[in-house]
Amino acid sequence: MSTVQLRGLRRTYGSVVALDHLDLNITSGEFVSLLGPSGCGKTTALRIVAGFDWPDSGDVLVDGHDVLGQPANKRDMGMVFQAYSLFPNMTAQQNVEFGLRIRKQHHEQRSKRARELLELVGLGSAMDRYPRQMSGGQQQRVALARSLAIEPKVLLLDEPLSALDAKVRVQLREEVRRIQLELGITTIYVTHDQEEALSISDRVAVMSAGRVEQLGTPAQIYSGPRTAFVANFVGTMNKIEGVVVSRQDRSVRCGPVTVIVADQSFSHAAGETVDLYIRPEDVRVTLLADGARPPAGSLEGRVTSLTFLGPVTRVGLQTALGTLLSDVSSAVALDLAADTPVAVELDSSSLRSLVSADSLQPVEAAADPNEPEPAGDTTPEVVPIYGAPMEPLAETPPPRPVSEPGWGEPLGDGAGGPQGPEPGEGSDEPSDSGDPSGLKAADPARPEVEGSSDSAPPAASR
Amino acid sequence: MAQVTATPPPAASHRIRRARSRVPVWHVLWLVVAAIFFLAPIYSVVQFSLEGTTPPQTIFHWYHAVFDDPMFRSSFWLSIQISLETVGVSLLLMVPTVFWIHLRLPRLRPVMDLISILPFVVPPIVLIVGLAPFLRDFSTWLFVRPEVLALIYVVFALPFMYRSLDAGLRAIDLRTLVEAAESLGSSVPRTLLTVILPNLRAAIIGGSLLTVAISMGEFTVASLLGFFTFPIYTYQAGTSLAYEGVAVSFLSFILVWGAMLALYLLGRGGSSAAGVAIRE
Repeated sequence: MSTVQLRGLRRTYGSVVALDHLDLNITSGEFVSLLGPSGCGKTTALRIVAGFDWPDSGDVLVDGHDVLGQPANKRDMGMVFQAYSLFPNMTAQQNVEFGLRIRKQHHEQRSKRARELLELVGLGSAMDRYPRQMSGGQQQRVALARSLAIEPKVLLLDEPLSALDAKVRVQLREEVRRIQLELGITTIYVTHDQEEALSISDRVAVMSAGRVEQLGTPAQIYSGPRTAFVANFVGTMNKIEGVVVSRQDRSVRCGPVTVIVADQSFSHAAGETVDLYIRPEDVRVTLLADGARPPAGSLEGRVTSLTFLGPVTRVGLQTALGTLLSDVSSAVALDLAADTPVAVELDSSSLRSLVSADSLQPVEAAADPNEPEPAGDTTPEVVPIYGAPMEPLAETPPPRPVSEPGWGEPLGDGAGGPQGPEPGEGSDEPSDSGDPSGLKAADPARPEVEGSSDSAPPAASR
Repeated sequence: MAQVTATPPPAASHRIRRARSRVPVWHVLWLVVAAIFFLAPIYSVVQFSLEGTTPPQTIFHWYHAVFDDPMFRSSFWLSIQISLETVGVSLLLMVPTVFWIHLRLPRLRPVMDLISILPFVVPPIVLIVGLAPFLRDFSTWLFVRPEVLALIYVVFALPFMYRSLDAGLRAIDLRTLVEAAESLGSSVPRTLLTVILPNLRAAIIGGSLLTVAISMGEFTVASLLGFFTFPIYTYQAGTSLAYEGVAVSFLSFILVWGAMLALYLLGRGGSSAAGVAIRE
């Protein structure tokens, strides 16, 4: 039961920065996962804590004491590796006893402890087996027992389940968590599997490019990603690009549609380019009779794809906001087929707005065939949208989100948009959002998405 | 369903039987030619070494004669002694070196690969002409003792020892094992002794047997430096005592075969010990 503090860890390999001033505080008995894509530095961080690697600068404190001066074999850290690491020449019991033998424990104590631990990991009957006689899952259980035998201050798990098959992985991760809670041992768990991290951790640190992008409980990470990276990395997200119309209204113009964001922390200035994120389960789909208009606050959409995922079916939708994914209960999805017209509602309380970042992978650029791209994207251009001049875009203008033939046509409510060099305050005038009648374009799928409306659509499917 | 799955096996086995029965005549012919090429000399050797043993002499008379020859005994034991010294020095030198290169300096591996084949490329005569003056100047005491042969044979055996150990270390996940042991509190020397060496058993025995084979059979250097080793005895017996000489040749032949057989058996055992992580 120890606390672990990583302070300003920096580690470079040649010109590659593996860790970039990493800070992380782990409280006693806590289970923290380092989650990130390969190359984000999570394993490097763990290896530094274990003593197999050294930072260029920064400190690692365990219980407040700097441990960087200690060699790995003096740190009392239990580690389970991604690769099978059992000593092939020893039985399960001998493997577990290895650390105790070094600590010169008495023979009887040793074998008693080994038995206890192997029973803890559910392998009490396999004490005399050699690693080659065990399955991968069993080997990792023994490795876990072995690392716990020395009563380490901190348990370090470096993707211990990634070599196992899916079913064993799920089963074993739950056991890892059970044992961790039972022993109350401070644990750092490195994984690239978000499901794994979210399901067993007290807190998750999502890492990217050597830094912690966001640290929070699994629920916080999932429902409130604070950076574009987290939003894109954790779970599936719909991304809708837009420009802020008004900070007060929390309204964002996304192509032909104005979207109201319910998130109280919305703090983007008018004119700012933002990305809206919404999870597929927060996009609701309702069947729409042929030719019928979607109810107010909904968009018209057409089903483009159906992917059966078991309890839910992931529906691809073509809407005025671009392509959206929606998770629909598989029973409901039976009514859907390609090209089915549907009403699409976004649960605005689940919408997250984030400044669109350069680091994002480019979304499929929906280039407008009717409007030639301004040559030379390097110079910010004033692009008229609905007749209203817009603020110069951020360094790289995002690709046009929606390729509608009506793009660039003046719209009635566009007048309320940002104007002139001093946006934000000037855009108090609320856009007359409820009235789509001002839309001149032929495409009817252009209503406002009144996200804040709580009225459940008929036959809402979730 | 059951019917469907039941049908293929007979068909398959039938096909196999037909394939077997159709081994081309050429294959058999070449096999026979090759067998004659290799076995005929051996047969002649055995036959000759058993000849001239008319009663009351026993059939193995010449072999008894060889074993009773004090020169044979002294030369044989000298060679055994030198081989063991060679193996000892080789292991002490190479195991930690190769271990360290694999663990901490993997970039040096190509260099080591190159160095390890040098003794193949440089003829022994060249090596000893260059080495003898150096050794003489280095230590006259050493130069006149048979141990000097062991030192030279270490160089000759380097490719075999290095390659065996290299292969053995490649077969295990060295870094993970060392780190696992370290995290459990083990020092590197202790890890080497208690974790790595047991898993290199097959590689070490294999390298050692090859080293013994080389040391037992080396002629050029021993003869140039004037030590009466087993190969020298074999040569002398061959020139002066026809029957005994041939008997000795066959004995050394048996020795090498024995070593090869041991290698093969240990190699089989070793592969199952090394193929740990792969099995599920």
